[in-house]
Amino acid sequence: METLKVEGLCKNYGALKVLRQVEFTVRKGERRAIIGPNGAGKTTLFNLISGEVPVSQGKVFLHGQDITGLKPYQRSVRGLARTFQKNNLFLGLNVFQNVRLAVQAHQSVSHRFIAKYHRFQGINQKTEEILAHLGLTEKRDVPASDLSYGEQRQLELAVAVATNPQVLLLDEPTAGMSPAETFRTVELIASLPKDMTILIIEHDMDVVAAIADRMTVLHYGEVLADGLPHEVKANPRVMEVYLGLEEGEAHHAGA
Amino acid sequence: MQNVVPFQELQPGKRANEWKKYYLAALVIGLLLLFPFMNTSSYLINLLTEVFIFGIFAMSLDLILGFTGMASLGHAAFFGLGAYAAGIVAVRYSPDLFITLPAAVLVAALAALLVGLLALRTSGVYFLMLTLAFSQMFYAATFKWTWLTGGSDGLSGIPRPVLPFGGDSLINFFDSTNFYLLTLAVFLASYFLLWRIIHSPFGQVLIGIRENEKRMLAIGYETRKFKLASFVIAGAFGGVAGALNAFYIGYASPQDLFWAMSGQVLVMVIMGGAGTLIGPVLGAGLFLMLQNVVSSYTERWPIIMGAIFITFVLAAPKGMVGIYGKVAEKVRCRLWKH
Repeated sequence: METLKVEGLCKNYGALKVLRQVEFTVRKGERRAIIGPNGAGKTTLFNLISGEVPVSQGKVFLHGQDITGLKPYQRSVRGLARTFQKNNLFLGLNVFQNVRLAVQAHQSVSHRFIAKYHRFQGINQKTEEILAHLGLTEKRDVPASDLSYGEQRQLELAVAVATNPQVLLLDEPTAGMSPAETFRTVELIASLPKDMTILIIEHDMDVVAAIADRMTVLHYGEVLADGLPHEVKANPRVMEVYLGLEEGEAHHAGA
Repeated sequence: MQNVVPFQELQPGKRANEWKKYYLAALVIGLLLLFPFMNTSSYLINLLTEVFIFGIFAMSLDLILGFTGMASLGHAAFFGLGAYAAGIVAVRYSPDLFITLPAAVLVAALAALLVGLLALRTSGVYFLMLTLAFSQMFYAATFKWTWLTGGSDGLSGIPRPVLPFGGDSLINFFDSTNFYLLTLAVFLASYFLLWRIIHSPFGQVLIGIRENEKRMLAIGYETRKFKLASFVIAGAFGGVAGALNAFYIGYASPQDLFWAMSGQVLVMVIMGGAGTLIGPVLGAGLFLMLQNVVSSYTERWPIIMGAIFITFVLAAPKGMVGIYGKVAEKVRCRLWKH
């Protein structure tokens, strides 16, 4: 069953064409890696899917519903969540408060303006569970601004996961992490519910290999290849542009 | 996932600290209640009355400035509209406190809703400019609608409020001690309500918007709705302060809505410490006391007030609350040493 579909997606900034006619369909529970060299338009693609940036042309479908005209918060309500390439946290709040805001977002209690927030035990409980799951329990009272970069990356992931999404977009979740932190994050992503659909932008091919069951390669805003990892890796055009091999060499390497 | 520690158990220290806070609050409230009966001069009683009025005003601005992260330069509009609404009702209809005060709240909240609906389409400097523009429109209206507002002469002869039961014979608010106690009661009720709002799920959303509105949108909050609610609540409390001020001085004037008044309350919030509830109250207290003292020595008191404000912004950007925090930190360090 298709969960997410993009159709003829284009994004221009003036004369600069960042994305051209990008199309793909993501099935429920799929783990798809979006790869491509810097400037290929990967983050722009995420911004169009999550609604942060309006599309120039094309459509985005979530569960078969056209969400192209919806605001980011409306897409979130419909089960879409994302992390950001640059940490985008509530820096003045502690780890617990960061995650609790995300948990609270989908629990129709935010209109309660006299009741004390810590009385809502269900939300606290859920928050503690997510902190435990993501290994952040020890840091629960630490302000987000005081975390190490790798911990902030983990919190970034926790905030997105806490909205309990059906489709999760991860923008370079392991960028800047130590090897140990990367390993933990990969484990973490792998431990997310099997029916959660995940799109991940990632440069580290080991991470991609560990997580992804399908790959989409972007190059200068165009889909270069789309398929199972071994198919994509064997694709001569991918080798040519991604590995920087010449046409002949690529054929040779592919053979 | 199994060994989830319950929320409270992790913070036994915080719980004990909270009790200490309650004791301190009870002590302060007790002293404030007894204050007028300790052979106090009426000058001091009146000064403190004014501090409560402007304390409410400053707290209401802080809800949008310090807790929601929106800088408004038109907050005096709601103060002034509250003053006129209460004043007009008191002069023309009835000085009953339970009619005049709700009228002020209603008018101020409706005006805030109108301004908020339009101004919140923007943010940052544009929001600031729009709030300023709207408040100046209201200011101009009070000048022009002479039949209703008294025009540039202002609306004079506003009586002190009366209770719907007992009348003047039970509690006479023309007496400065009684009026002091009334403003204290309204101030404490406002403080308590705002405190609950900030500590509610709704209040936490406001703080989230202050910290990172973009992320709030990404995790599913329709932030504009929450910002509007915050703006309306702030406007309503601004109206309460305006009404009390009109009762206190018996007069409402266009100056109550003027942008200089918006600037003054902004100074109070910043000097006291934005993003806390007690800060704006302390700021209002310091501002009014300084104004009283300095203006008794020189006519050029605004220059000195300006210099003090600049010193605050440069040396203590977190205001009086920030200074207290720094000092307390140092004292605690000393205590640990010995």
